[in-house]
Amino acid sequence: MIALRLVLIAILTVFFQALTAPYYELAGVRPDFVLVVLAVYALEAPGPATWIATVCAGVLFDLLSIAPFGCHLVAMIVVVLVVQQGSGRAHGIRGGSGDAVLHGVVLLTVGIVVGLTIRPLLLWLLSGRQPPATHLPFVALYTLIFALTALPVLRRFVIAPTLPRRGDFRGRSGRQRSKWGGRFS
Amino acid sequence: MRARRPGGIAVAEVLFLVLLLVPPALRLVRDHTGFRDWLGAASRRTPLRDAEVLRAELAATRDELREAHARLESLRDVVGAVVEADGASSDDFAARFRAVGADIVGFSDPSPRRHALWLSFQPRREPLRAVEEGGNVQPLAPLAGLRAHGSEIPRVSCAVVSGKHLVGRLVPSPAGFSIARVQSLRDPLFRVRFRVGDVTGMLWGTGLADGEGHALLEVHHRTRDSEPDTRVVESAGAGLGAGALSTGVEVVTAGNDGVFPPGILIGETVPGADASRVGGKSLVRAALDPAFLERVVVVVDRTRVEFAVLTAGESR
Repeated sequence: MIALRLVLIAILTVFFQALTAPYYELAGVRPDFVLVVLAVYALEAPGPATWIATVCAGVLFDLLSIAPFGCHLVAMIVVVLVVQQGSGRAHGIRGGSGDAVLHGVVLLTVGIVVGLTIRPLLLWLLSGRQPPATHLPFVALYTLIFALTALPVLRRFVIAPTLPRRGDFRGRSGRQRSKWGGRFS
Repeated sequence: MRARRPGGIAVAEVLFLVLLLVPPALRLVRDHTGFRDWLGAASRRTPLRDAEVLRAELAATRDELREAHARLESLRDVVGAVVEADGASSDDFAARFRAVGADIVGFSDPSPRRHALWLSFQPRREPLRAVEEGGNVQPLAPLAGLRAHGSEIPRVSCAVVSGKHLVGRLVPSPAGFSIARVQSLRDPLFRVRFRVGDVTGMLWGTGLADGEGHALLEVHHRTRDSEPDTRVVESAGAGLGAGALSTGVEVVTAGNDGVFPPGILIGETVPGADASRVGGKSLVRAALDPAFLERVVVVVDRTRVEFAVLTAGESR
């Protein structure tokens, strides 16, 4: 269920990026919505579902793009890998909720910067096109703003409903309770 | 801090919606209202941008003026040559002929035996734009009026010259094309009537060129104006007969073939020893090697254009 939901949202985001990115262009800089969604997935829901969504989104993005096949896929895999690794380490850190938020912001920033750096480098290696390095900080900043505002929304509307937590089953049917073995009821 | 009610709308969601909707909304407003002009005028008001625009326009104007000057120089040479040969005024020239500038298309053809050139009548760049006081950008008219546009592109055989030198004959291309082929002096099928003093005749292309790339043309049907009924019979040992040509004499177009205006320099006669290599005919060496030309002037005979239109109407 969670995999299907994440994959569906990721695929919709790829189409959203392809269709509406020009409308979000500011001073020649466009945000990368797919990177935002995948980085948030990797931060909030590390696991097989995120990997499936990443591969699906990457392959679809590469099919839609004129860039050599694999550029976007590899970049997205690296982003998810970096953020998941960081997220896994964060679980061992002791601290309050403020530390967790700060850690999440740092991970998102690192993931977005890594993704935006790797993709032009791959393009350069595979097709010889010189990457416009001057745009990178602005694209990263623009994308990060979207990532920070999208993080709570995705967490609440996409990821949280699929996670079995105490209290989420309040008022649900008996069939749904029995699905989880009555452990959370 | 008050906890968010489950199912309610949080600040984060509102912020996300605003961020998602504002940039496209701003773009739509900018594209579909006068807001764009206001934005554009504001962005152009910066002194640095104004200076850059002026500098770019100045450089473009300088280039275009240089090009127009080169074309006018070439045109002046043509007019001078024709007027001198015909004994007419420049007004007479303007009444009968029209000059159109064209660029030689740089097709990659390294062959030294290249017979054809290709001309392009298209402008090489966007027309210059002037920024008016209100911030509107308007295209400027092309300078010197030497560019052919649409119906002005010649559709009849006419002379192609560079300076006062003959380059070849324009082969008319069908309507709708803005490029045309030029049959150069190197083409074995090239024909032009010539005049040297009172000697007239016809030059035939040979397909040959000398060591410097200048085309060699054979002299045929040579006659003297004083003896118009006497056709000189060419014989071995070039240059013999009533219309014998001495070496190094400039040969110009006669102007009575309906294609080439009179007085355009074709070349000069070559020594008999060289001529004897090509079947004993008298030879003329073209004055110009078109291999390195970039632009030329097409001299269009208005009477020929009208004749073509008239005959096309009669044939329908």
